[in-house]
Amino acid sequence: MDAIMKVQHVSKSFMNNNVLKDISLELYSGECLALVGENGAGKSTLMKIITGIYKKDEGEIEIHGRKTEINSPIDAQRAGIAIIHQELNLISNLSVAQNIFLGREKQRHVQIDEKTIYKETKSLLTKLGLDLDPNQRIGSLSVAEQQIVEIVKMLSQNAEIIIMDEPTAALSAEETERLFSIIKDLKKQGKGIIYISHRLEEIFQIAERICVLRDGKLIAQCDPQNTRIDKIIEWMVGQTIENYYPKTTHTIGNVKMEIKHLTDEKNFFDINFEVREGEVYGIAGLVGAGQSDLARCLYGLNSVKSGEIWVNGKKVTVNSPGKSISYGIGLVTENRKEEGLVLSMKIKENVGLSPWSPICKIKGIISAMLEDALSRESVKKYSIKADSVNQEVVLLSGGNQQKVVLAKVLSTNPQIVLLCEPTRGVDVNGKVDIYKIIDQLLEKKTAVILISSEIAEIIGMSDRIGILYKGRLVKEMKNENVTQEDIMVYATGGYQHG
Amino acid sequence: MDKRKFWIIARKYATFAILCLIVAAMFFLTDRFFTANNLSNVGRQVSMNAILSVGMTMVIISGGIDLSVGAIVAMSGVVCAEIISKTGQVVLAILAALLIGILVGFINGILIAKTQIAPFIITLSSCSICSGIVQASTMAMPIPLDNEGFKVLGQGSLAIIPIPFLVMLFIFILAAFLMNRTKFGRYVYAIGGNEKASIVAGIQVIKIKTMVYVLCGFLAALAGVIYTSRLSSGTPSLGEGYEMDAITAAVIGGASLSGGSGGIWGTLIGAIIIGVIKNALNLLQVNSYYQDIVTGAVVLAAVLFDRFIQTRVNEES
Repeated sequence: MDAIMKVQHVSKSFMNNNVLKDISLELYSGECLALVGENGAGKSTLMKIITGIYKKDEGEIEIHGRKTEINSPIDAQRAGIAIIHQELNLISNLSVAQNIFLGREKQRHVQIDEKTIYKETKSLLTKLGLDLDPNQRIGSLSVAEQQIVEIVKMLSQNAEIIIMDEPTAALSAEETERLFSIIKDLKKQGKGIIYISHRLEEIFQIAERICVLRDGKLIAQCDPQNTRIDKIIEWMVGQTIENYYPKTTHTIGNVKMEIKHLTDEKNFFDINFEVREGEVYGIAGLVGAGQSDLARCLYGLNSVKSGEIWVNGKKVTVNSPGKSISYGIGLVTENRKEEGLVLSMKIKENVGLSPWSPICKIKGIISAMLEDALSRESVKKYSIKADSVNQEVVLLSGGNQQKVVLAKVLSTNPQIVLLCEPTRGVDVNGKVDIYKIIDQLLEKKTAVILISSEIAEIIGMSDRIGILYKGRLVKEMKNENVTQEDIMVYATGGYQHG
Repeated sequence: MDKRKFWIIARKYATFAILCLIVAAMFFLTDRFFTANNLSNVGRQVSMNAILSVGMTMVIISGGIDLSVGAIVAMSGVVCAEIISKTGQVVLAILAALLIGILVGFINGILIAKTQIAPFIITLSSCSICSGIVQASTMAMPIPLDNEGFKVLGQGSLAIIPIPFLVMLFIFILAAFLMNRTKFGRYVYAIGGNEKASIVAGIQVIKIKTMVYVLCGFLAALAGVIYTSRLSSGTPSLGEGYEMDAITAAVIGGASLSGGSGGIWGTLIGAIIIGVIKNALNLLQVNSYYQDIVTGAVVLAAVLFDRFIQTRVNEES
């Protein structure tokens, strides 16, 4: 079989900093090539070169055996290369069909021929076996559906090489399965797919080949059939990670927080559970099962209809974040850029953002000394990698940004910490660091509620696990010999049929 | 990384460098610029716009805009003049005028913070309402004043330094402290940078936003009182278009209309640049219509230059 694309000896440096060193790889028709590596390994630089955003310093790219110069995104499109970013490039006010044909509208006289656009979109969707209305507004679709629209858009531009950058980051297990079946279809049609993901379990399901990048070099190429996941992690980080989930055992103390019959009558219903000192209560469930709404209500960001929240044996009303912080509750939201950080601000300003942060000697006046001390201590304690505490957070990697969010929340010394997807978009080393931070919290007798759609993480870090299905807590179990399948049975509603 | 730092520093001092350039140019173009009399005159003219600009800068940093400051200038001025001419009570008049500014600011702020309607719309309406009230209650007739004590505020000097300039300096020092050293200031930046994240952090966003507009209204009223003292007259048509000068000063000083960035000292330099340009063109006997063209061009140049540097900063990171 001939390669659709051959990347040969590509190198790139920024200001004497070699970010790609002599990379060569091939992509064949009908295969899914997984590209893995830590943040900063050079994956996105390589993709930017392939899609014409950056210029390579050295090397060649061949498409169908012909040397091709790709100097702009338009060149890439002509060469049949398409990329689907984490952040989708769709216009939410326009319909599915209008988005797919954006910039290439069919015209009848001076008008846009909406009918033809509709029909062509419909046939593209049916070809992939998708049941979407071309007239639906993008804004009303779920992230997963939007992603599918993006894929359809690429296909309509005759893309042969499709790059997917962390496509499942915001998808539920069910939606991920659907994406995978689409990828299988694309493979059958002879397209080549480059799949970038931090979720290694997925890669083993979908990829024919795995390329591991580290420090700008292609460290290894392997076949997932004959390679173990720890081997890949070792290649990625350059060392063996002995303990991926470094949770130690702690004595579990008194009940810190108790939830009784809590409901918002929309996203979750009649929720009952408790969490104790030094305990991690993991909440598993598919995306949209109500877990993030539940966390927002416990923190006072959304309001509940009925039910009770008890903290330290006292009934409390949390109707604002300020109230909940004063009860000792802290929340790490699932989307750090939207709700976690002020990106334009420095690390120290973000760490000390909460009104309860200990940075004042005189009320209301910030003490530069205390502020500095707090952020320096946080940087050390949570191993945040940065030039200094004066660095703007926008320049940090995802993992380090997430640690700054944690530092901000923990600076108020919360007794109950709600973590929503705390390791989303964080690389392997960063993940382990964050798990270590959780372990530090347990040491201090903090109660932790861990909400995650990564089931491996829930199993790796929790003492007890509650599973949400369609807004109801359908199962609670001790974390003893629990397997991913055990959880999926409940999270997908499969228990009702078994 | 070092290049990035260079551009960040360049950005910080660029406006100051531009001011120095203009001043240096004036040194060569005319000998009437560097006279004690002219400089004190510039200082007096600059100070009122500068006081307005401080409030505007805070509002802009919080991610908003206040189009009602010009109308507040007129309203507070007229209220102040009316009370002085009726009762002769200067202190009472000033307090009442300042209270009016606080009140309008509070209404602006609470509406903006609670309803999430665009600040542009809310303050556009309050601008219209306030100037309507002023015109209707005075029938557009100025209120002449002859109170010697009140005159001092706008017309007096300490040695050769005009009193308004001293008031302005005092306001700037307070404002810089507020914005750079207190939690209030930090939260104004945070709200402008990312309002959602500020809410999650537990910041009382509604309270802070309201206070920003209250401060802006208060400072507009203060400027109105000083103007009135300077003119010795309550002038209903005063303040028209002053909001634009205030926005201009803030933007030249580095404030971004999308919120989260800007600074008090930058705004001072912005206000001085506007004042110096106006004065320079007067001295060079340029027709006032051309002055508008020059001011517009300077703003455009400042913003383009800032964008140029910003792209450099981003490229280096």
